[in-house]
Amino acid sequence: MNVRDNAQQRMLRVDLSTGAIGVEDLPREWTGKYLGARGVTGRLLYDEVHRGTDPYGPENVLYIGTGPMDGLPVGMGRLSIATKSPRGCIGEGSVGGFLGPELRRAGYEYIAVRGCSDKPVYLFIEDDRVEIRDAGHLWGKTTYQTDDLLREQLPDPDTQFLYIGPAGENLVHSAMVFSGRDSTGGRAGGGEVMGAKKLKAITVRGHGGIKPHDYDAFIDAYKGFRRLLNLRTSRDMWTPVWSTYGAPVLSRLFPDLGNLMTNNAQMMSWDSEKAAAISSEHFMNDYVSRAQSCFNCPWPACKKNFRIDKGENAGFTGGNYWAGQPVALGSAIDNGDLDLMLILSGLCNQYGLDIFHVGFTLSWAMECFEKGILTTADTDGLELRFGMTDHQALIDLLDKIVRKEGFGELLALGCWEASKRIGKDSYKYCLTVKGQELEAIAERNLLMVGLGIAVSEVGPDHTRWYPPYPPNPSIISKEELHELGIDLDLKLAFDTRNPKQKGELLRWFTISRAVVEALPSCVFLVRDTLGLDLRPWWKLFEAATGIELDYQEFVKTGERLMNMDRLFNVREGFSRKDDHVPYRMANEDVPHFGYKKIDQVTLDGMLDEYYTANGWDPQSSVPTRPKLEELGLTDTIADLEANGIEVKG
Amino acid sequence: MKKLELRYVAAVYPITSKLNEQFETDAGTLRELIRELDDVYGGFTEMFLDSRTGKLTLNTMIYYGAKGSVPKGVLDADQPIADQATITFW
Amino acid sequence: METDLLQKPSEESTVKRIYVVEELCNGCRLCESFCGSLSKGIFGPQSGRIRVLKVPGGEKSVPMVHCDGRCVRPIYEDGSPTCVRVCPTGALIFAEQERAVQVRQEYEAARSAHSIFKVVAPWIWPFPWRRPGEKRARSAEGEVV
Repeated sequence: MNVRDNAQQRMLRVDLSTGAIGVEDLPREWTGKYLGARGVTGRLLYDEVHRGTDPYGPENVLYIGTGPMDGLPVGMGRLSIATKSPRGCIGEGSVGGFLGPELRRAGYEYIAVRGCSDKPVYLFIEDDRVEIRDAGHLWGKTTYQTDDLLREQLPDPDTQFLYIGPAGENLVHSAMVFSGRDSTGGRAGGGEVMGAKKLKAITVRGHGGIKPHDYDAFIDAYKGFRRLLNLRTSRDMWTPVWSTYGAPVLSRLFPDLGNLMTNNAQMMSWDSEKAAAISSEHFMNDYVSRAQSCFNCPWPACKKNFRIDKGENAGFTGGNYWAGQPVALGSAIDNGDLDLMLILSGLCNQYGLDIFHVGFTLSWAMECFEKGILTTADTDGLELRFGMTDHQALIDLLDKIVRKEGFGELLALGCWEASKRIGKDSYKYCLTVKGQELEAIAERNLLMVGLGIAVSEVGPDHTRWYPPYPPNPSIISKEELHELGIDLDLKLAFDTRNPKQKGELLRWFTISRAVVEALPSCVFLVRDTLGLDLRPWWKLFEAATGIELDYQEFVKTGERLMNMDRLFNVREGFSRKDDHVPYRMANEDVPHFGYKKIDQVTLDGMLDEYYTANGWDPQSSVPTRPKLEELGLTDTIADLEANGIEVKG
Repeated sequence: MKKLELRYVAAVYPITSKLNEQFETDAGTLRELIRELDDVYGGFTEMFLDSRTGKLTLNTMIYYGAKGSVPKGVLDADQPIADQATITFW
Repeated sequence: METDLLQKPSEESTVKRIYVVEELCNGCRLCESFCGSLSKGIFGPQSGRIRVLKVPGGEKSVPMVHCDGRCVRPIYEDGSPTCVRVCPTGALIFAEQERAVQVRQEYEAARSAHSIFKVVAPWIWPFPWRRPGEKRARSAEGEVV
């Protein structure tokens, strides 16, 4: 049996224009320098996808990658999906499921897909056997139909699938990639680029094994890791609740805190009855059928499958009702009907649509309609209002969006592009940054979140710094933090509406989460002290790979990754001016709660702190020469300068 | 008598079997309120107070919102409670 | 050691075995991963005594196991069955037959009373809860494992 050396990563290269397939070993030293997953795909993207590449063209590369810790019970099946986004920036997002371990068992950590096929294809991988196969019978099919058809063809239940839905095929803005049913990710361009390449799916089966370099040390480290995440012993209020009832619980608290975007964020609080109607408790009582996990996850029920039992939609099933839906398909469009929310969410998953794109583009359109900017002439006769009761019309709109028909064609552009076409100052109502819609977390009450959304290189992506809350102060002391190299004034840093220390805090969160994602593992498990004290991850990494890094070197891999992402963007022409918050957050205080808008002065102060702390030039946000030297990335300087980017210092 | 709005979220729900209620009490602090709710429902003392330290447990949270104010997470079980406060048990 | 399934109940009932509460399996495969790794330290191939049957369509996962709980090399010092210890939902229990039947009945009653037990076992749940027919909530009495 083929047993992998976890320190040596391998990549499968596929060119869909020429049909060429090859395998290469990545430089061995990359594992200790970049770790894996996002760490490596970020480096590859910089090296191989040059400035000005057409995201939909054959020169754009789609990387799908896991890392040295997957296939072991810490990897959680995480996959990085990285490419150049149609928004022009780096497009990276991760997804869970079971494909990562299977890919490693087949003998690879990465798949790099270049070129575009003329006809729909899927990539078949079984150990050494790799084939580009015809996918004509899959094209046009929903994700559920695709999953069923692939399973008929490849009945071994351990064969894992990755695919897009019709939304990706039709290049709908922000289309998703699926790692198995209802396991979604890659909203920053992954689905669109797969569609542009006419790559409908990837199937993987592997017969190898994964062995930690030191099994006993690995088991020892693993037990410590589990203790921090066990429902009974985790010293974190989110662990027992997030891991069972799940994130929709937030609908019962966020309205009081002024954290819930309602009516396209015109308000930050919602009717308490509607909030209760879409709550986790209600969902658990009346809709949940069973829990559905990712590979080897230590938590019981992050994802849950559901079934609508009553009413005209009885029999409808779906999965993965999480934090996004209560906002994007709930309060943002003033929908307090859980059936409707679950159907819209379920259909988004079947069609391959991004719920944030759909929800926030609909909420933008509703505000525009109520203000007379859009009329029934634009909306195919639909009266588009917040809290509208014509549920079937909303459901039908999803189909129109996928097909880009009628009003759906405008909505399929995504909110930002749609506002450019409509004009009339409709951009003011877009909840977007870098052309990508927001997610669920509020900004004006949590300034670090506002900053994090502004600077995220892929557009709004909370997973880059999630979770943003402080640990209970009794579980880690200032002395311990200092030993770990974290010299934040925690009280000030977590004073959520004070702009001071937010840049420093965001810097730490971004670096630590980058390390976790690059191993790979799941940032959802960053609880207890795991977001401040990375030593448990470090011990697991060493036991798995045999690579001995000192602690600060290990942490630095996260900073290196953060810089690679920024370098890709600055080379494409992104700079400080692109790191901003949506118009509403910059110009309007939160009604009733009085949280202040994030005006330019406030944002500038936070950006200055963030860029300076990172060793980036405060004007251009380009990493400086001393920082690149520190990170061992000086090989990028010549390329940057050749592309007209000035590297200071 | 104080009139409180109590909210029971997620893990508290299998104790109370209700999501919220109006509750009348003479309790002066959260600790006293927890004990009172324990008398009614059972479970509250064990869930929210660490038997060794007497402090609030680390895998739960209580949000206290004085009338008209935004709720805040509580770190001290002996925090006083006022009439018409909204208290969320998490 | 293969157990003769036609053993008389009185002998069978004193042997502890691994039993499965199917509804609680979330398909994570931690049991399969760890069990398979115990003899040679290799994760991945299903070389252990427990396998998770994945029903097509992703709707269901069912652990299949025939094991007396004595791991070839348990990872916990007390020798408790590894799969049972690593299972995050409590879908695996280690008990004598009579106790396993009781646990099953208690589980069904708990699940009818509180929907949270659709996704996590009462014996994993870290907080007190109200038993059906009782007025006040209380915590788990003793470990099933």
